[in-house]
Amino acid sequence: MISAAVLAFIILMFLGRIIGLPVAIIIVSGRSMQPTLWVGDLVVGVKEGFKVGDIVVWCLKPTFCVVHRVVEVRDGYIVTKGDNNPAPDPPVPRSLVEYRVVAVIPRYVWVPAVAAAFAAYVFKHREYFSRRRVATGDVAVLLLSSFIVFNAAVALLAPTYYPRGAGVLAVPQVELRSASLTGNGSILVKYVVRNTRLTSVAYCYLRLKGWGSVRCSARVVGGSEVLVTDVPQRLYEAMIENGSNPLLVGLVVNMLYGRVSGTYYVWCGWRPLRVRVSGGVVSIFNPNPAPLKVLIKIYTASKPGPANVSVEHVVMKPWGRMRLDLRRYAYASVRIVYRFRGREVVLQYGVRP
Amino acid sequence: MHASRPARAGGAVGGGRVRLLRALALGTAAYGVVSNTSILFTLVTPLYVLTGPIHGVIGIVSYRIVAFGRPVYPPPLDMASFLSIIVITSSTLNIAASAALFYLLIKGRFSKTALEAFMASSLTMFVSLGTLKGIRRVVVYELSILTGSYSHYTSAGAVIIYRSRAHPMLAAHLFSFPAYVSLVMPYVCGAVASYLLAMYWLKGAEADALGEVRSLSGRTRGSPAAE
Repeated sequence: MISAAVLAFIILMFLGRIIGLPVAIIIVSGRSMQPTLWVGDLVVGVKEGFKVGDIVVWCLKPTFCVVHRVVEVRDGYIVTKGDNNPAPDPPVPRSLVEYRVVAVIPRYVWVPAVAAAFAAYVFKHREYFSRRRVATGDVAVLLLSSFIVFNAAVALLAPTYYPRGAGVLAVPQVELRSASLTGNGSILVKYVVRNTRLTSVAYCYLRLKGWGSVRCSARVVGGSEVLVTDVPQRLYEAMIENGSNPLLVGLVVNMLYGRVSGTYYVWCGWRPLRVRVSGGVVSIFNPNPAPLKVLIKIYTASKPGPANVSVEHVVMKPWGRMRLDLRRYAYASVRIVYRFRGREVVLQYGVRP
Repeated sequence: MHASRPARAGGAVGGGRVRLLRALALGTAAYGVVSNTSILFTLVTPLYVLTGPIHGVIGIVSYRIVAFGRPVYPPPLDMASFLSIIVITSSTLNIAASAALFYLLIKGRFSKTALEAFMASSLTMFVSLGTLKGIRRVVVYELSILTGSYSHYTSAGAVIIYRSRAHPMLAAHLFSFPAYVSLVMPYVCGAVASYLLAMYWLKGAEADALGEVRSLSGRTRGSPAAE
Protein backbone atom coordinates (compact mmCIF):
# COMPACT_ATOMS: atom_id res chain seq x y z
CA MET A 1 0.00 0.00 0.00
CA ILE A 2 2.75 2.43 1.00
CA SER A 3 4.82 1.50 -2.03
CA ALA A 4 1.80 2.06 -4.28
CA ALA A 5 1.26 5.48 -2.70
CA VAL A 6 4.93 6.41 -3.16
CA LEU A 7 4.79 5.25 -6.77
CA ALA A 8 1.61 7.25 -7.40
CA PHE A 9 3.22 10.34 -5.84
CA ILE A 10 6.32 10.00 -8.02
CA ILE A 11 4.22 9.54 -11.16
CA LEU A 12 2.18 12.59 -10.17
CA MET A 13 5.37 14.62 -9.77
CA PHE A 14 6.55 13.55 -13.20
CA LEU A 15 3.22 14.47 -14.71
CA GLY A 16 3.15 17.72 -12.74
CA ARG A 17 4.57 19.72 -15.63
CA ILE A 18 1.99 18.39 -18.02
CA ILE A 19 -1.03 18.90 -15.80
CA GLY A 20 0.32 22.10 -14.26
CA LEU A 21 0.96 21.16 -10.64
CA PRO A 22 2.84 23.64 -8.41
CA VAL A 23 5.73 21.17 -8.11
CA ALA A 24 7.12 18.99 -10.86
CA ILE A 25 10.03 16.70 -11.61
CA ILE A 26 11.68 16.99 -14.98
CA ILE A 27 14.34 14.86 -16.65
CA VAL A 28 17.25 16.70 -18.20
CA SER A 29 17.71 15.40 -21.72
CA GLY A 30 20.25 17.78 -23.26
CA ARG A 31 23.87 18.74 -22.76
CA SER A 32 23.36 22.48 -22.91
CA MET A 33 23.51 22.92 -19.13
CA GLN A 34 26.65 20.92 -18.47
CA PRO A 35 28.39 20.84 -16.08
CA THR A 36 25.56 22.08 -13.85
CA LEU A 37 23.04 19.57 -15.16
CA TRP A 38 23.82 16.33 -16.96
CA VAL A 39 21.67 14.22 -19.22
CA GLY A 40 19.47 12.02 -17.06
CA ASP A 41 19.54 14.25 -13.99
CA LEU A 42 16.20 15.02 -12.37
CA VAL A 43 15.34 18.60 -11.48
CA VAL A 44 12.65 19.63 -9.05
CA GLY A 45 10.79 22.74 -10.15
CA VAL A 46 8.37 24.88 -8.17
CA LYS A 47 6.06 27.59 -9.43
CA GLU A 48 7.53 30.69 -7.83
CA GLY A 49 9.35 33.88 -8.70
CA PHE A 50 12.79 33.90 -10.25
CA LYS A 51 15.64 36.28 -10.80
CA VAL A 52 18.71 36.55 -12.97
CA GLY A 53 21.00 33.60 -12.27
CA ASP A 54 18.21 31.14 -11.44
CA ILE A 55 17.64 28.04 -13.52
CA VAL A 56 14.10 28.00 -14.85
CA VAL A 57 11.92 25.71 -16.93
CA TRP A 58 10.11 27.50 -19.74
CA CYS A 59 7.75 25.64 -21.99
CA LEU A 60 6.38 26.35 -25.43
CA LYS A 61 4.02 23.43 -24.97
CA PRO A 62 3.48 21.21 -21.92
CA THR A 63 5.69 18.56 -23.47
CA PHE A 64 8.27 20.90 -25.02
CA CYS A 65 10.32 22.68 -22.40
CA VAL A 66 13.77 24.13 -21.92
CA VAL A 67 15.76 24.06 -18.66
CA HIS A 68 18.18 26.99 -18.84
CA ARG A 69 19.60 29.76 -16.68
CA VAL A 70 18.11 33.25 -16.69
CA VAL A 71 20.65 35.82 -17.87
CA GLU A 72 18.39 38.82 -18.40
CA VAL A 73 14.91 39.95 -17.42
CA ARG A 74 13.31 42.93 -19.16
CA ASP A 75 9.84 44.24 -19.97
CA GLY A 76 7.92 41.02 -19.82
CA TYR A 77 10.62 39.05 -21.58
CA ILE A 78 13.43 36.90 -20.31
CA VAL A 79 16.63 35.75 -21.93
CA THR A 80 17.97 32.36 -20.92
CA LYS A 81 21.19 30.60 -21.76
CA GLY A 82 22.49 27.09 -21.37
CA ASP A 83 25.66 27.13 -19.27
CA ASN A 84 27.35 25.11 -21.98
CA ASN A 85 26.02 27.14 -24.89
CA PRO A 86 28.12 29.86 -26.48
CA ALA A 87 25.13 32.10 -27.11
CA PRO A 88 21.90 32.90 -25.27
CA ASP A 89 18.49 31.73 -26.40
CA PRO A 90 16.15 34.11 -28.17
CA PRO A 91 14.04 36.15 -25.70
CA VAL A 92 10.83 34.46 -24.62
CA PRO A 93 7.80 35.93 -22.85
CA ARG A 94 8.06 35.79 -19.10
CA SER A 95 4.71 34.03 -18.99
CA LEU A 96 6.26 30.93 -20.56
CA VAL A 97 8.32 30.27 -17.44
CA GLU A 98 6.68 27.40 -15.61
CA TYR A 99 9.07 26.51 -12.82
CA ARG A 100 12.13 27.61 -10.97
CA VAL A 101 14.56 24.77 -10.34
CA VAL A 102 15.08 24.36 -6.60
CA ALA A 103 16.78 20.96 -6.41
CA VAL A 104 18.70 18.56 -8.57
CA ILE A 105 18.78 14.79 -8.16
CA PRO A 106 21.85 13.54 -10.04
CA ARG A 107 21.45 10.52 -12.25
CA TYR A 108 24.07 8.59 -10.27
CA VAL A 109 21.76 8.89 -7.28
CA TRP A 110 18.31 8.20 -8.63
CA VAL A 111 19.10 5.53 -11.25
CA PRO A 112 20.74 3.09 -8.77
CA ALA A 113 18.03 3.91 -6.22
CA VAL A 114 15.25 3.02 -8.64
CA ALA A 115 17.07 -0.13 -9.76
CA ALA A 116 17.58 -1.18 -6.15
CA ALA A 117 13.92 -0.54 -5.33
CA PHE A 118 12.81 -2.62 -8.33
CA ALA A 119 15.19 -5.44 -7.38
CA ALA A 120 13.92 -5.35 -3.81
CA TYR A 121 10.34 -5.53 -5.03
CA VAL A 122 11.07 -8.55 -7.22
CA PHE A 123 13.02 -10.23 -4.42
CA LYS A 124 10.22 -9.64 -1.96
CA HIS A 125 7.67 -11.17 -4.31
CA ARG A 126 9.94 -13.90 -5.69
CA GLU A 127 7.63 -16.69 -4.57
CA TYR A 128 4.73 -15.15 -6.44
CA PHE A 129 6.80 -14.84 -9.62
CA SER A 130 8.20 -18.39 -9.32
CA ARG A 131 4.75 -19.94 -8.79
CA ARG A 132 3.03 -17.97 -11.48
CA ARG A 133 2.27 -20.03 -14.59
CA VAL A 134 2.85 -18.22 -17.82
CA ALA A 135 -0.46 -18.23 -19.66
CA THR A 136 -0.88 -17.85 -23.40
CA GLY A 137 -0.43 -14.25 -24.42
CA ASP A 138 1.28 -13.18 -21.17
CA VAL A 139 4.66 -12.68 -22.80
CA ALA A 140 3.28 -10.65 -25.67
CA VAL A 141 1.08 -8.51 -23.44
CA LEU A 142 3.92 -7.90 -20.96
CA LEU A 143 6.36 -6.90 -23.69
CA LEU A 144 3.93 -4.65 -25.49
CA SER A 145 2.61 -2.95 -22.37
CA SER A 146 6.16 -2.42 -21.03
CA PHE A 147 7.17 -0.93 -24.35
CA ILE A 148 4.19 1.39 -24.45
CA VAL A 149 4.75 2.62 -20.89
CA PHE A 150 8.45 3.08 -21.55
CA ASN A 151 7.81 5.03 -24.74
CA ALA A 152 5.21 7.21 -23.09
CA ALA A 153 7.63 7.98 -20.26
CA VAL A 154 10.45 8.84 -22.65
CA ALA A 155 8.29 10.93 -24.96
CA LEU A 156 6.45 12.85 -22.26
CA LEU A 157 9.08 13.39 -19.62
CA ALA A 158 12.00 14.52 -21.72
CA PRO A 159 11.69 18.31 -21.84
CA THR A 160 13.61 18.83 -25.01
CA TYR A 161 12.39 20.98 -27.80
CA TYR A 162 13.69 23.95 -29.63
CA PRO A 163 12.24 25.80 -32.56
CA ARG A 164 15.55 26.26 -34.31
CA GLY A 165 18.93 24.84 -33.51
CA ALA A 166 20.93 27.74 -34.86
CA GLY A 167 19.95 29.78 -31.83
CA VAL A 168 22.81 28.28 -29.89
CA LEU A 169 25.48 29.10 -32.45
CA ALA A 170 27.89 31.97 -31.92
CA VAL A 171 27.78 33.23 -35.48
CA PRO A 172 30.59 35.68 -36.31
CA GLN A 173 29.37 39.27 -36.27
CA VAL A 174 31.19 42.25 -37.74
CA GLU A 175 29.85 45.78 -37.65
CA LEU A 176 31.39 49.11 -38.53
CA ARG A 177 32.34 51.37 -35.68
CA SER A 178 34.06 54.21 -37.54
CA ALA A 179 36.12 55.10 -40.58
CA SER A 180 38.29 58.18 -40.28
CA LEU A 181 41.58 59.79 -41.19
CA THR A 182 44.43 59.45 -38.75
CA GLY A 183 47.16 61.92 -37.91
CA ASN A 184 49.62 60.60 -40.44
CA GLY A 185 47.20 60.57 -43.33
CA SER A 186 46.24 56.93 -43.05
CA ILE A 187 42.66 55.79 -42.84
CA LEU A 188 41.62 53.76 -39.84
CA VAL A 189 38.54 51.59 -40.18
CA LYS A 190 37.33 50.30 -36.82
CA TYR A 191 35.00 47.35 -36.53
CA VAL A 192 33.01 45.78 -33.74
CA VAL A 193 33.95 42.12 -34.04
CA ARG A 194 32.29 39.28 -32.17
CA ASN A 195 32.97 35.53 -32.30
CA THR A 196 35.76 35.93 -34.85
CA ARG A 197 38.77 38.09 -35.62
CA LEU A 198 40.07 39.82 -38.68
CA THR A 199 43.15 38.20 -40.15
CA SER A 200 44.24 39.96 -43.33
CA VAL A 201 43.14 42.36 -46.02
CA ALA A 202 42.42 40.74 -49.35
CA TYR A 203 41.65 43.85 -51.35
CA CYS A 204 41.66 47.59 -50.82
CA TYR A 205 40.66 50.45 -53.08
CA LEU A 206 39.88 54.13 -52.80
CA ARG A 207 37.40 55.99 -54.89
CA LEU A 208 36.99 59.71 -55.27
CA LYS A 209 34.60 61.56 -57.49
CA GLY A 210 36.39 62.36 -60.71
CA TRP A 211 39.30 60.04 -59.95
CA GLY A 212 37.94 56.55 -60.39
CA SER A 213 39.35 53.76 -58.27
CA VAL A 214 42.84 53.69 -56.83
CA ARG A 215 44.39 50.58 -55.31
CA CYS A 216 45.68 50.90 -51.80
CA SER A 217 47.34 48.66 -49.30
CA ALA A 218 46.04 47.95 -45.85
CA ARG A 219 46.71 45.74 -42.90
CA VAL A 220 44.81 44.44 -39.93
CA VAL A 221 45.65 45.91 -36.56
CA GLY A 222 44.69 44.11 -33.39
CA GLY A 223 42.12 41.81 -34.92
CA SER A 224 39.36 44.41 -35.16
CA GLU A 225 40.80 47.38 -37.02
CA VAL A 226 42.10 47.94 -40.52
CA LEU A 227 44.67 50.58 -41.28
CA VAL A 228 44.82 51.81 -44.86
CA THR A 229 48.37 53.06 -45.15
CA ASP A 230 49.50 54.17 -48.55
CA VAL A 231 46.80 56.59 -49.56
CA PRO A 232 48.23 58.41 -52.56
CA GLN A 233 49.13 61.94 -51.59
CA ARG A 234 47.80 63.29 -54.86
CA LEU A 235 44.40 62.05 -53.81
CA TYR A 236 44.48 64.12 -50.65
CA GLU A 237 45.82 67.09 -52.50
CA ALA A 238 43.00 66.79 -54.95
CA MET A 239 40.52 66.54 -52.13
CA ILE A 240 41.79 69.61 -50.35
CA GLU A 241 42.28 71.65 -53.49
CA ASN A 242 38.95 70.73 -55.04
CA GLY A 243 36.98 70.21 -51.88
CA SER A 244 36.01 66.68 -52.93
CA ASN A 245 34.25 64.76 -50.24
CA PRO A 246 33.79 62.02 -49.18
CA LEU A 247 36.50 59.54 -49.95
CA LEU A 248 35.18 56.05 -50.51
CA VAL A 249 37.22 53.19 -49.05
CA GLY A 250 36.49 49.70 -50.27
CA LEU A 251 37.83 46.78 -48.28
CA VAL A 252 37.63 43.02 -48.51
CA VAL A 253 38.91 41.73 -45.20
CA ASN A 254 39.56 38.09 -44.43
CA MET A 255 38.49 36.86 -41.06
CA LEU A 256 38.23 33.54 -39.30
CA TYR A 257 35.42 31.55 -40.95
CA GLY A 258 34.75 34.09 -43.69
CA ARG A 259 35.32 37.58 -45.01
CA VAL A 260 33.83 41.04 -44.82
CA SER A 261 33.32 43.12 -47.90
CA GLY A 262 32.24 46.72 -47.57
CA THR A 263 32.67 50.28 -48.75
CA TYR A 264 32.94 53.08 -46.24
CA TYR A 265 32.67 56.83 -46.59
CA VAL A 266 35.46 58.83 -45.03
CA TRP A 267 34.40 62.43 -44.55
CA CYS A 268 37.27 64.87 -44.39
CA GLY A 269 36.60 68.14 -42.60
CA TRP A 270 39.18 70.24 -44.40
CA ARG A 271 40.18 73.44 -42.63
CA PRO A 272 42.31 76.37 -43.82
CA LEU A 273 45.87 76.86 -42.62
CA ARG A 274 46.30 78.61 -39.31
CA VAL A 275 48.92 81.35 -39.46
CA ARG A 276 50.11 83.33 -36.48
CA VAL A 277 52.61 86.16 -36.52
CA SER A 278 54.23 87.15 -33.30
CA GLY A 279 57.49 88.99 -32.59
CA GLY A 280 59.00 88.44 -36.00
CA VAL A 281 58.10 84.77 -36.05
CA VAL A 282 55.53 83.31 -38.44
CA SER A 283 53.92 80.04 -37.31
CA ILE A 284 51.99 78.01 -39.86
CA PHE A 285 49.88 75.06 -38.82
CA ASN A 286 48.19 72.58 -41.10
CA PRO A 287 45.08 71.47 -39.14
CA ASN A 288 44.19 68.82 -41.69
CA PRO A 289 44.90 65.14 -41.47
CA ALA A 290 46.33 65.31 -44.95
CA PRO A 291 49.34 66.98 -46.50
CA LEU A 292 48.86 70.40 -48.07
CA LYS A 293 50.94 71.99 -50.80
CA VAL A 294 51.82 75.56 -49.93
CA LEU A 295 53.72 78.26 -51.76
CA ILE A 296 55.50 80.62 -49.39
CA LYS A 297 56.99 83.88 -50.60
CA ILE A 298 59.13 85.79 -48.14
CA TYR A 299 59.98 89.42 -48.76
CA THR A 300 62.85 90.71 -46.69
CA ALA A 301 64.88 93.95 -46.55
CA SER A 302 67.36 95.52 -44.13
CA LYS A 303 66.42 99.05 -45.07
CA PRO A 304 63.65 100.74 -47.04
CA GLY A 305 63.92 99.97 -50.72
CA PRO A 306 63.87 96.91 -52.94
CA ALA A 307 63.30 93.66 -51.06
CA ASN A 308 64.77 90.23 -51.48
CA VAL A 309 62.23 87.62 -52.44
CA SER A 310 62.57 83.94 -51.63
CA VAL A 311 60.06 81.40 -52.87
CA GLU A 312 59.55 78.10 -51.20
CA HIS A 313 57.27 75.21 -52.20
CA VAL A 314 56.42 73.29 -49.10
CA VAL A 315 54.29 70.25 -48.45
CA MET A 316 52.88 70.70 -45.00
CA LYS A 317 52.51 67.35 -43.31
CA PRO A 318 49.20 66.43 -41.67
CA TRP A 319 48.97 68.43 -38.49
CA GLY A 320 52.39 69.73 -39.39
CA ARG A 321 53.83 72.98 -38.13
CA MET A 322 56.26 75.37 -39.71
CA ARG A 323 58.10 78.22 -38.14
CA LEU A 324 59.66 81.14 -40.06
CA ASP A 325 61.99 83.24 -37.96
CA LEU A 326 62.30 86.66 -39.57
CA ARG A 327 63.51 88.60 -36.56
CA ARG A 328 66.87 89.35 -38.09
CA TYR A 329 65.30 91.42 -40.87
CA ALA A 330 64.29 94.97 -40.34
CA TYR A 331 61.48 94.64 -42.78
CA ALA A 332 59.75 91.42 -43.73
CA SER A 333 56.48 90.18 -45.06
CA VAL A 334 55.15 86.76 -45.94
CA ARG A 335 52.74 85.68 -48.65
CA ILE A 336 51.25 82.25 -48.35
CA VAL A 337 49.39 80.76 -51.29
CA TYR A 338 47.57 77.45 -51.48
CA ARG A 339 44.55 75.92 -53.13
CA PHE A 340 41.72 75.11 -50.85
CA ARG A 341 38.26 73.73 -51.66
CA GLY A 342 38.47 74.66 -55.29
CA ARG A 343 39.81 78.17 -54.92
CA GLU A 344 43.18 79.81 -54.37
CA VAL A 345 43.77 81.23 -50.93
CA VAL A 346 46.29 84.04 -50.56
CA LEU A 347 47.42 85.18 -47.15
CA GLN A 348 49.65 88.20 -46.72
CA TYR A 349 51.30 89.14 -43.47
CA GLY A 350 53.58 91.99 -42.67
CA VAL A 351 56.18 91.05 -40.11
CA ARG A 352 57.59 93.77 -37.90
CA PRO A 353 60.28 92.68 -35.50
CA MET B 1 11.44 -21.22 -22.95
CA HIS B 2 9.10 -24.09 -23.61
CA ALA B 3 9.99 -25.75 -26.89
CA SER B 4 8.44 -28.82 -28.41
CA ARG B 5 8.75 -30.83 -31.59
CA PRO B 6 6.60 -29.50 -34.40
CA ALA B 7 5.81 -32.90 -35.86
CA ARG B 8 3.03 -33.39 -33.42
CA ALA B 9 1.87 -29.84 -33.04
CA GLY B 10 2.14 -27.95 -36.26
CA GLY B 11 2.54 -31.01 -38.38
CA ALA B 12 -0.74 -32.40 -37.22
CA VAL B 13 -2.72 -29.25 -38.02
CA GLY B 14 -2.90 -28.04 -41.62
CA GLY B 15 0.58 -29.24 -42.69
CA GLY B 16 0.92 -27.16 -45.87
CA ARG B 17 -0.15 -23.93 -44.27
CA VAL B 18 2.10 -24.52 -41.31
CA ARG B 19 5.07 -25.08 -43.56
CA LEU B 20 4.26 -21.84 -45.32
CA LEU B 21 3.90 -19.98 -42.04
CA ARG B 22 7.10 -21.51 -40.74
CA ALA B 23 8.90 -20.37 -43.84
CA LEU B 24 7.38 -16.91 -43.49
CA ALA B 25 8.31 -16.70 -39.80
CA LEU B 26 11.81 -17.94 -40.59
CA GLY B 27 12.23 -15.34 -43.29
CA THR B 28 10.89 -12.48 -41.21
CA ALA B 29 12.99 -13.57 -38.24
CA ALA B 30 16.08 -13.46 -40.44
CA TYR B 31 14.95 -10.10 -41.79
CA GLY B 32 14.42 -8.91 -38.22
CA VAL B 33 17.97 -9.80 -37.23
CA VAL B 34 19.51 -8.19 -40.31
CA SER B 35 17.35 -5.07 -40.43
CA ASN B 36 17.57 -4.37 -36.71
CA THR B 37 21.31 -4.86 -36.76
CA SER B 38 21.34 -2.30 -39.55
CA ILE B 39 19.12 0.02 -37.51
CA LEU B 40 21.47 -0.23 -34.53
CA PHE B 41 24.37 0.40 -36.89
CA THR B 42 22.54 3.48 -38.18
CA LEU B 43 21.98 4.70 -34.65
CA VAL B 44 25.44 4.28 -33.23
CA THR B 45 27.63 5.17 -36.19
CA PRO B 46 28.03 8.67 -37.61
CA LEU B 47 25.51 9.71 -40.24
CA TYR B 48 27.35 12.77 -41.47
CA VAL B 49 30.78 14.28 -41.10
CA LEU B 50 30.82 18.06 -41.23
CA THR B 51 33.75 20.06 -42.50
CA GLY B 52 34.18 23.79 -42.56
CA PRO B 53 33.56 26.47 -39.95
CA ILE B 54 31.06 24.13 -38.37
CA HIS B 55 32.78 20.78 -38.19
CA GLY B 56 32.31 17.53 -36.38
CA VAL B 57 30.40 14.31 -36.52
CA ILE B 58 26.64 13.88 -36.35
CA GLY B 59 25.05 10.63 -35.35
CA ILE B 60 21.71 9.86 -33.81
CA VAL B 61 22.87 8.52 -30.48
CA SER B 62 25.81 10.84 -30.21
CA TYR B 63 27.32 13.86 -31.91
CA ARG B 64 30.21 16.25 -31.59
CA ILE B 65 29.95 19.62 -33.27
CA VAL B 66 32.33 22.55 -33.07
CA ALA B 67 30.80 25.67 -34.53
CA PHE B 68 33.05 28.67 -35.10
CA GLY B 69 35.60 27.37 -32.66
CA ARG B 70 33.24 26.46 -29.86
CA PRO B 71 31.51 23.16 -29.09
CA VAL B 72 27.75 23.43 -29.43
CA TYR B 73 24.88 21.25 -28.31
CA PRO B 74 21.82 21.82 -30.48
CA PRO B 75 18.73 20.78 -28.49
CA PRO B 76 17.10 18.96 -31.44
CA LEU B 77 20.10 16.63 -31.63
CA ASP B 78 19.88 16.07 -27.89
CA MET B 79 16.21 15.27 -28.37
CA ALA B 80 17.03 12.84 -31.16
CA SER B 81 19.64 11.21 -28.97
CA PHE B 82 17.20 10.91 -26.10
CA LEU B 83 14.38 9.51 -28.22
CA SER B 84 16.69 6.97 -29.82
CA ILE B 85 16.34 4.99 -26.59
CA ILE B 86 12.95 3.88 -27.93
CA VAL B 87 14.45 2.55 -31.14
CA ILE B 88 17.41 0.94 -29.40
CA THR B 89 15.13 -0.86 -26.95
CA SER B 90 12.81 -2.07 -29.65
CA SER B 91 15.58 -3.16 -32.00
CA THR B 92 17.47 -4.99 -29.30
CA LEU B 93 14.29 -6.77 -28.29
CA ASN B 94 13.53 -7.68 -31.88
CA ILE B 95 17.04 -8.97 -32.54
CA ALA B 96 16.84 -11.20 -29.48
CA ALA B 97 13.35 -12.47 -30.30
CA SER B 98 14.13 -12.95 -34.00
CA ALA B 99 17.37 -14.78 -33.29
CA ALA B 100 15.69 -17.06 -30.76
CA LEU B 101 12.80 -17.84 -33.09
CA PHE B 102 15.12 -18.35 -36.04
CA TYR B 103 17.23 -20.78 -34.01
CA LEU B 104 14.23 -22.75 -32.80
CA LEU B 105 12.64 -22.92 -36.25
CA ILE B 106 15.89 -24.10 -37.80
CA LYS B 107 16.11 -26.74 -35.10
CA GLY B 108 12.57 -27.77 -35.97
CA ARG B 109 11.09 -26.69 -32.66
CA PHE B 110 8.16 -24.55 -31.70
CA SER B 111 8.10 -22.31 -28.66
CA LYS B 112 5.04 -20.37 -27.59
CA THR B 113 7.18 -17.89 -25.67
CA ALA B 114 9.47 -17.29 -28.64
CA LEU B 115 6.51 -16.83 -30.98
CA GLU B 116 4.86 -14.38 -28.61
CA ALA B 117 8.06 -12.47 -28.05
CA PHE B 118 8.65 -12.27 -31.79
CA MET B 119 5.11 -11.12 -32.43
CA ALA B 120 5.28 -8.48 -29.69
CA SER B 121 8.67 -7.22 -30.79
CA SER B 122 7.48 -7.09 -34.40
CA LEU B 123 4.57 -4.94 -33.30
CA THR B 124 6.89 -2.62 -31.38
CA MET B 125 8.73 -2.02 -34.64
CA PHE B 126 5.70 -0.06 -35.89
CA VAL B 127 6.42 2.58 -33.28
CA SER B 128 10.15 2.16 -33.47
CA LEU B 129 10.45 2.63 -37.22
CA GLY B 130 8.15 5.64 -37.12
CA THR B 131 10.27 7.13 -34.37
CA LEU B 132 13.43 6.35 -36.34
CA LYS B 133 12.12 8.14 -39.39
CA GLY B 134 11.07 11.09 -37.25
CA ILE B 135 14.47 11.23 -35.57
CA ARG B 136 16.22 11.06 -38.93
CA ARG B 137 14.08 13.90 -40.17
CA VAL B 138 15.03 15.98 -37.13
CA VAL B 139 18.71 15.22 -37.66
CA VAL B 140 18.58 16.01 -41.37
CA TYR B 141 16.68 19.24 -40.70
CA GLU B 142 19.23 20.24 -38.10
CA LEU B 143 21.97 19.36 -40.54
CA SER B 144 20.42 21.63 -43.14
CA ILE B 145 20.48 24.44 -40.59
CA LEU B 146 24.07 23.78 -39.62
CA THR B 147 25.23 23.68 -43.22
CA GLY B 148 23.07 26.63 -44.19
CA SER B 149 24.19 30.13 -44.91
CA TYR B 150 25.05 32.44 -42.05
CA SER B 151 26.09 35.31 -44.28
CA HIS B 152 24.39 38.59 -43.54
CA TYR B 153 24.59 42.31 -44.10
CA THR B 154 25.57 44.76 -41.41
CA SER B 155 26.91 48.29 -41.27
CA ALA B 156 30.31 46.79 -42.12
CA GLY B 157 28.97 45.45 -45.41
CA ALA B 158 28.47 41.88 -46.48
CA VAL B 159 29.66 39.50 -43.79
CA ILE B 160 30.24 36.32 -45.73
CA ILE B 161 30.54 33.21 -43.59
CA TYR B 162 31.96 30.18 -45.32
CA ARG B 163 29.51 27.32 -45.54
CA SER B 164 30.14 23.95 -44.02
CA ARG B 165 29.80 20.76 -45.99
CA ALA B 166 28.13 17.56 -44.87
CA HIS B 167 29.63 14.31 -46.06
CA PRO B 168 27.15 11.44 -45.72
CA MET B 169 28.50 8.23 -44.28
CA LEU B 170 27.30 4.70 -44.97
CA ALA B 171 24.71 4.85 -42.19
CA ALA B 172 23.14 7.91 -43.78
CA HIS B 173 22.11 5.89 -46.80
CA LEU B 174 20.50 3.09 -44.81
CA PHE B 175 16.76 3.47 -44.31
CA SER B 176 16.75 6.83 -46.00
CA PHE B 177 14.85 5.94 -49.15
CA PRO B 178 12.31 3.22 -48.38
CA ALA B 179 8.84 4.32 -47.38
CA TYR B 180 7.62 3.59 -43.91
CA VAL B 181 5.15 1.01 -45.22
CA SER B 182 7.81 -1.00 -47.00
CA LEU B 183 9.93 -1.08 -43.86
CA VAL B 184 7.07 -2.13 -41.67
CA MET B 185 5.53 -4.72 -44.00
CA PRO B 186 7.93 -7.59 -43.15
CA TYR B 187 7.21 -7.04 -39.47
CA VAL B 188 3.49 -7.21 -40.18
CA CYS B 189 4.05 -10.51 -41.98
CA GLY B 190 6.22 -11.75 -39.15
CA ALA B 191 3.69 -10.81 -36.50
CA VAL B 192 0.83 -12.44 -38.41
CA ALA B 193 2.85 -15.57 -39.17
CA SER B 194 3.99 -15.99 -35.58
CA TYR B 195 0.46 -15.36 -34.32
CA LEU B 196 -1.00 -17.98 -36.66
CA LEU B 197 1.79 -20.41 -35.86
CA ALA B 198 1.09 -19.98 -32.18
CA MET B 199 -2.57 -20.60 -32.81
CA TYR B 200 -1.80 -23.74 -34.81
CA TRP B 201 0.60 -24.86 -32.13
CA LEU B 202 -2.08 -24.41 -29.50
CA LYS B 203 -4.64 -26.23 -31.60
CA GLY B 204 -2.18 -29.04 -32.23
CA ALA B 205 -1.28 -29.28 -28.58
CA GLU B 206 -4.91 -29.34 -27.59
CA ALA B 207 -5.65 -31.96 -30.22
CA ASP B 208 -2.74 -34.08 -29.07
CA ALA B 209 -3.84 -33.75 -25.50
CA LEU B 210 -7.37 -34.65 -26.47
CA GLY B 211 -6.14 -37.67 -28.45
CA GLU B 212 -4.12 -38.89 -25.51
CA VAL B 213 -7.10 -38.55 -23.21
CA ARG B 214 -9.30 -40.43 -25.66
CA SER B 215 -6.75 -43.20 -26.15
CA LEU B 216 -6.44 -43.53 -22.42
CA SER B 217 -10.17 -43.91 -22.15
CA GLY B 218 -10.05 -46.82 -24.67
CA ARG B 219 -11.63 -45.14 -27.68
CA THR B 220 -10.05 -46.03 -30.99
CA ARG B 221 -10.38 -43.08 -33.29
CA GLY B 222 -7.91 -41.33 -35.54
CA SER B 223 -6.15 -38.32 -34.33
CA PRO B 224 -8.59 -35.40 -34.11
CA ALA B 225 -5.81 -33.20 -35.19
CA ALA B 226 -5.96 -34.82 -38.61
CA GLU B 227 -9.24 -33.13 -39.45
